Amino acid sequence: MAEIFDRDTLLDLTVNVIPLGIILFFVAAFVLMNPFGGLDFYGRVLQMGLLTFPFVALAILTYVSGKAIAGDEKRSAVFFQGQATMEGAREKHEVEETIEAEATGEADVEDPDGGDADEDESEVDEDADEEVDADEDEEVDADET
Amino acid sequence: MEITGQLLLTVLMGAFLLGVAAFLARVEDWRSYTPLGAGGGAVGESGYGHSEKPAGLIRWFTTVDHKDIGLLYGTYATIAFVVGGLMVMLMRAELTTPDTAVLGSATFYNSLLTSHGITMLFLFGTPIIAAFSNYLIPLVIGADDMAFPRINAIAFWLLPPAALLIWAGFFPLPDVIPAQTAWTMYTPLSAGVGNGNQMNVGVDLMLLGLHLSGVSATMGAINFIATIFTERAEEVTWANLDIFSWTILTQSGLILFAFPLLGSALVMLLLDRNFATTFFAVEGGGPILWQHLFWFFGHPEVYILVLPPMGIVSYVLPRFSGRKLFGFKFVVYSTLAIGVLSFGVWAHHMFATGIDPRLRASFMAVSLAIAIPSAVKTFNWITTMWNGKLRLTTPMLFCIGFVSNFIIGGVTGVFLASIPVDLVLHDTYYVVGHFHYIVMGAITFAGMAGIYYWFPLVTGRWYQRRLAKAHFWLWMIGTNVTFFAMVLLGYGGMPRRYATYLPQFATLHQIASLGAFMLLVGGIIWIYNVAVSWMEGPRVQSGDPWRLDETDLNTAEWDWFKAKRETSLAATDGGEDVKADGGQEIDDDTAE
Repeated sequence: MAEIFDRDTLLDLTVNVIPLGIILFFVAAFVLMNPFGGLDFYGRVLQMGLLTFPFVALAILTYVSGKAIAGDEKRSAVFFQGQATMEGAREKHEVEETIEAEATGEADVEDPDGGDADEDESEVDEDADEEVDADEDEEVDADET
Repeated sequence: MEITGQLLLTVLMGAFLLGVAAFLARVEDWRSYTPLGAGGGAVGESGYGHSEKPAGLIRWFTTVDHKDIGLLYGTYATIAFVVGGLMVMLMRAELTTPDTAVLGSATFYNSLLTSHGITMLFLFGTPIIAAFSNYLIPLVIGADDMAFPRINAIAFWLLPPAALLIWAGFFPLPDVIPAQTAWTMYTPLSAGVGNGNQMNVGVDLMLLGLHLSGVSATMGAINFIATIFTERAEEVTWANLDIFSWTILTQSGLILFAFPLLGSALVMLLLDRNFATTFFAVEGGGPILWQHLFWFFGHPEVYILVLPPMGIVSYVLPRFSGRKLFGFKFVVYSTLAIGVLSFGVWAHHMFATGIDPRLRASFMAVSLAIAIPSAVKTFNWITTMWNGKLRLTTPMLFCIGFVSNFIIGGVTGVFLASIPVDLVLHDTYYVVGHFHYIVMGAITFAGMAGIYYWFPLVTGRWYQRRLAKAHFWLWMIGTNVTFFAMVLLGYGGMPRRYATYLPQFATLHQIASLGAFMLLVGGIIWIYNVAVSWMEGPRVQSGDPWRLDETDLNTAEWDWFKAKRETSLAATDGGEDVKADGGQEIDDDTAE
């Protein structure tokens, strides 16, 4: 249990903790401030129910999905999205190690585009492929229009 | 006498259906089918040589192959998009003048308005997503096909009759007029109460058509849930499931809970209309009951439509950023969060109805909370692009357009979540502008990103990039011109759903119509480009047309495409199909 919900997983789950926190904030606010106190009790129950039901449901789903995803990460090889069934796909940690090694300049640059955010790679090569344009070079008459 | 006539009709219909079944059994050897998408031709004695599929129209009527069904969904959605688009062009033409000079009748405008909404949401939105998911998910998760291929086919074939029923009022049928209830079908108008003409059978037919489309969506959803849970390849663990499949899984869960409810509410409405029940009558359940039931379906429907396009963008955008998706798991968890929270916000559509103010406050709270997961995704997309090696291909442009429009659509939506703001802007064009930024600016843009991105995968050919870029820019500018003008109209107090308006709104309405015209031109270019390129576009010359291997960003469906190309080259030994374009020097990896 503690193994599955380690620091990294908890960090991933913060994304759902924020909406939970917002709902909690409003629960507290509505408990403290009740400008419609003169109305029936049933509406008050509904008001709280409408907040607690999504809160509980989201908490349960976050726990279950976190357990499934983080558990599978611990149990089996992890790939980047869409690559698990590809032949010769590298595992996530292998790619990350390569990137790290490149960043520290320890590895030969085998994969220069591994997504290194530390280096300034920002370029927008909008026209990089202008010179060969399928519409133009091509003899099938699709490009005539 | 009457009963005899009905009996006769029933017997005739039964005989007809038997005849159809017999015909299908004759023309098709059902046992020849195999759920394998490719390479399954050697199995069984189909009598079709190396091909497992029959030829011509019979193939499309009888197919259970997920890829074929995906293409059927795509074609269907395109037709619906054209119909819905032409309807709204008539409406925008009408709105160029403050009176009804163009269409000549506000009634016709109301019919177009109703049908445009329902067509775009139910006949275009859901099916175009099903097109992508049917074609791609089995490929990406390593499944042979969908878990229930025949149910998959049935789910699609329920849609054409649904469209015919929904559009029935526009056909030249005696005594049938189109529904004018707007897509929300609020009672008592939709119950046919009062002196209006909404007791007409055209409304009943539309409700039945909607019901049918809901049944179709539910069948599809069950299929996707079963497929993703049980048919994944061994390596595709939950940690390895791609983001598009996650969004489809979540969407299917939403459909499973939302659409049956819509179906039930529609049946109740039909009973009110035809059998004098009082579910939504003032003396019975009350008109507000309809709004609760409708929006309990209707708000999750928004996420049913937007989650998979978010998945497409999360899947495609990193490919042209030269990076992996930033915070992949953030996107997954926030998708699931949206899935749950979407069922807790329905009454924010009803702030102005006079419901208990304490309930309104709760709905406001959850509506504000649900903005977080959507915003998280937006930051993930931006961060993925940050410092990336951007390639501004057409799919990438549409992804960036999606993010841009989604921000405007999202931020305008957050304001509406706040009760005091909503009470001012409710039922104005501000709301129309807000949700069109989402449905057109975001959802449709993501659909286009997907269409251009996977066009080479599906057709083996390239589209014309100049036309594609013209399409993008016309749509990007057109979307913002049209819908920002609507936001401003809303601030000015222009109410929605009206065929006529006060003269002071004329300029902004004309600007909106100009933008819509740009969308029309862009749409024509898109259809032309796709149709012509499909038939005679230059063939792709490698299994990695987007050069994704270079950045280690290739994915399973392109791996499948590569394998398919190699297999077909080997099988035909460089045969006719390949030879036709084989001699050309097309450096296709430079096209986009």
